[in-house]
Amino acid sequence: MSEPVRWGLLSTARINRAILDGARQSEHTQVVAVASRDQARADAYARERGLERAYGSYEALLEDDDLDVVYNSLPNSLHVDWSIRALDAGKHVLCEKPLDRRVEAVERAFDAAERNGRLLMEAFMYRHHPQTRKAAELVRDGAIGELRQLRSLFSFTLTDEADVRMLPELDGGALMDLGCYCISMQRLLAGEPDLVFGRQRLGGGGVDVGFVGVLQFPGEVFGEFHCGFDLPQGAGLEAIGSKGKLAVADPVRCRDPHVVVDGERIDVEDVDRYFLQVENFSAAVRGEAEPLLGPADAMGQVRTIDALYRSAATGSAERL
Amino acid sequence: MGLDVPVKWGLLSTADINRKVIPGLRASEKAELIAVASREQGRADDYAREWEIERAYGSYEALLEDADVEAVYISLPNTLHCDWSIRAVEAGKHVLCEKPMSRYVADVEAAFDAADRSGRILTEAFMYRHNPQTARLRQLVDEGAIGDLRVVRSSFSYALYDLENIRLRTDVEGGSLMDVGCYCVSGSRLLAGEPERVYGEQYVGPSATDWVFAGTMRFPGDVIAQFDCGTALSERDELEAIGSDGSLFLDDPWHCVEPVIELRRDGRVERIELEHADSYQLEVENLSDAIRGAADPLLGREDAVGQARAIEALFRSAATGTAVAPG
Repeated sequence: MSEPVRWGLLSTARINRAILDGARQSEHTQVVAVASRDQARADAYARERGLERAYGSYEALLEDDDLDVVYNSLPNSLHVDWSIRALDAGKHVLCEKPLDRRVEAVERAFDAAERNGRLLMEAFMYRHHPQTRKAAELVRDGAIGELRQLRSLFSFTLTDEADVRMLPELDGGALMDLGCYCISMQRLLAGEPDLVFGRQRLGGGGVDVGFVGVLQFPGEVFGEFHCGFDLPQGAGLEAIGSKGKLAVADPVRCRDPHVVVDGERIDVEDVDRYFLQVENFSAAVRGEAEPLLGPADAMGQVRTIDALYRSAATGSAERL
Repeated sequence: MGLDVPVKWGLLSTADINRKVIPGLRASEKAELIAVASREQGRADDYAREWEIERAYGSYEALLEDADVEAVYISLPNTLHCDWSIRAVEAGKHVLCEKPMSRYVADVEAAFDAADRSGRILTEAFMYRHNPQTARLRQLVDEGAIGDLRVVRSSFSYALYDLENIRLRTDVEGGSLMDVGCYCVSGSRLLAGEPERVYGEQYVGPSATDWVFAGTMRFPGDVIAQFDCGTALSERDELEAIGSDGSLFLDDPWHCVEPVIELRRDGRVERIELEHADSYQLEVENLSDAIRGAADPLLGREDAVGQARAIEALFRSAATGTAVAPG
């Protein structure tokens, strides 16, 4: 068996813990380096997490020739720039969701991946979970007849106005942080929307703290979703067809994983979705698998987000 | 352009701190706020409507291309301060950049090099330095109200535990020394000059930023400063300048909401009450005057570089566990 794929972490963001836990379970993955904007901080982080190498700048990590993959967990507005720099430095990149809210930026990032012959994947970890696959299979195999309606929600209460998710300078917002999951799962089940309508509640530092959207998919499938930082905790997905209804209670975090079809509970294997994501990406880097999420998915995602924000701004429905 | 023509200002970002600067810009006859930029046209439009600003730009670059804008206020996250200051001065704008400009001396120097090259003014936005309370404090020390200055003691802290807060994230240079400790460093330097040696201790919290930072700084003439700051401490802000014969105590040295200086000497306390003044307006007016050649900028390269030298040395000290000579 060949050597494990060597990963480096760009930044010390909290989400790293989930990736580190996932990587530890993967035989094909070894996290060997971390970068922070400060050498001492990187050293302390590396010591605490048992990582071999610590870099005092993001640039220094990208110069490490012994790294195959960079995991980018910087704030949203820094995703594309640093992904491109990493790709240009010859690394494969797993970048936190959402890649960006601008179509042009995501295109640029995948152009860089192609130019350098490297992989870029958007880190929608829930897509790797068997619960998600099961729901998609059931819908596709006609368990609810012909798909007609999709409903989803994702929310929690965030009161801190200086949370990075509340700051427009860093591309915060509920649609960016939470709604992107609703969009992702509806697109998985229904394809690419052609017309969307969105409304937003502004708050925080001037971001959408609440967002509601209606999506029209090909074949007259309609989707509706809402998300918010100004709501109680909420999550869920419903797919309603001509003959029945499928429900997923915890579609993103995938706790107690199961799918309900017309009242009947179908249990799904409980696996760490971060592990599966890391495993998939490492396998793709080794040429042993396709990355689950590629440019087509990321472009569909950003086109939808862009159209929804446009709609919220203009007050009218927008075509993609 | 005549001295009496107001300087045209633009805001780079829609950050919360703008709320404090905009009223100052509005109240001043020396400044006129004409533009705002955000990363989204829609958001810039909304913001411009809400605050009644004439022009809204959907990118920072677009605002910098507006030839009518003479000065920009940069209120972006810490890591973007120097980069956008450089882009702004290179676009021919004068710049008021939020504190702290950077924790790296090289970045601050690069920004001032760009300003010099472009013949534009760059100034770091320590608003408290423009308040009359601060000027009066300095004057009292200089006049010998407390004898010889020996010790400066200061604090600035608050409590915050959201790990995703911009002040607790390492990737945008959060941390207590960057966010509030920089005021203590600035206040100590104002009274005592540039430190010769510093020693720092920090508590690095779960977000990997310094949740508490305490520092000792030694200045020329045997003046010693001590400060503490934190994002995980109760809310405190104070400064005391202690001399051979007395001390000056400020209960509100940074926000200057109720400016009053207590002169503690010979067992008596004299309260020196000052009139309230809008520090943000004074800050904006100082740069506007400087642009028109009617005043010198209160805070220039020397102060900003001194500030970054001290902060860089304090972080180095805390990391190595040894005293460090800034430079």
